[in-house]
Amino acid sequence: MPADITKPSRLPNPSRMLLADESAEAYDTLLTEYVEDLSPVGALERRQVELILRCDLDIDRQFRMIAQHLNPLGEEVSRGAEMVREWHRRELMHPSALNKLDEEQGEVLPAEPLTLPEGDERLTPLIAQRYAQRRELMEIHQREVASSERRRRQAIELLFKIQDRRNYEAIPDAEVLEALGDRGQGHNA
Amino acid sequence: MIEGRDTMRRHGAQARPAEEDILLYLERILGARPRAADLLEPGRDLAAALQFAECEARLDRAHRHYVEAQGVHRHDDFDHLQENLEDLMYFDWIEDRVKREAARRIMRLEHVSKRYANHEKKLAGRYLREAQSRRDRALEHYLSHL
Repeated sequence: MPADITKPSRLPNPSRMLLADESAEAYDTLLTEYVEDLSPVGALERRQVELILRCDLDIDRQFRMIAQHLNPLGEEVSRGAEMVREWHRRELMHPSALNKLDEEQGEVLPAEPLTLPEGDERLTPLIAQRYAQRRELMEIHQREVASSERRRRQAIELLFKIQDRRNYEAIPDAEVLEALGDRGQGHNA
Repeated sequence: MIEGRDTMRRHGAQARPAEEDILLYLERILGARPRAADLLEPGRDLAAALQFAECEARLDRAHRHYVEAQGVHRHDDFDHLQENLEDLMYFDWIEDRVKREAARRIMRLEHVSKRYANHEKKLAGRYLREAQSRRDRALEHYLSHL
């Protein structure tokens, strides 16, 4: 048995499976809880539990992304359009204003991240509009949710199968007694 | 250039994992690292375990690739092209109307960058599904030899 009891996810490093907004610590905590709930025995079962957790994280991640893409306050950033807009602006500016703009360029602060509004029904039409604009992306995320759920179901089935197998192995084999065979013959006769 | 990099990345996600990685998984599956002599001519049990270990390594690689693809919303090559074009717009082409118009139109091809990123996402999802089903089959095969 591998000596990884204290460190549940030695292989692979969980931070390599996470995005920047997800924490390896939270992953390990969740894994510990899953291990407590599903009581795996041995490396195979522990691995199955880890795969179930990963599917759950995938599902959660996809829903988070859908919510972010549908955020009506989020801006549709188009780098090309931004560049062309900036180019036109500079063309129309007076040379002295242009010099001043170049001096101030380094002082521009990045925009603060927008937070999602909660429970405002007036935003529904805007959300629907964003959904229509990003239909392809939405389809990809929804397909991934369905796929992750399917993977999760299969991982749970396999875990139960391995656990059942282990439980059956613990039951001693039945012994065939000769006397039973004689009684069976007598009964048939 | 785009095709070449795409192919390279695809091969990276689907290439055979390093032997050391496979051996780590094998050690985890068997509970101990097998002897080198056993690996040279593995029996049916060890061969099944080896195949399972390789599938595990492939699954983790595919999953890592899948997670990375989720955070990508644009194609790097297209962004690079846009940046180069921006430099040209400010320097050489500023007086040439035809070139300026061409540059403006290329800048408007934003959807191409997003489409490539979406393509990467779909591909990563497909690789993960394939790796998962292969791994599950290898696990069943391994269990049948226990």
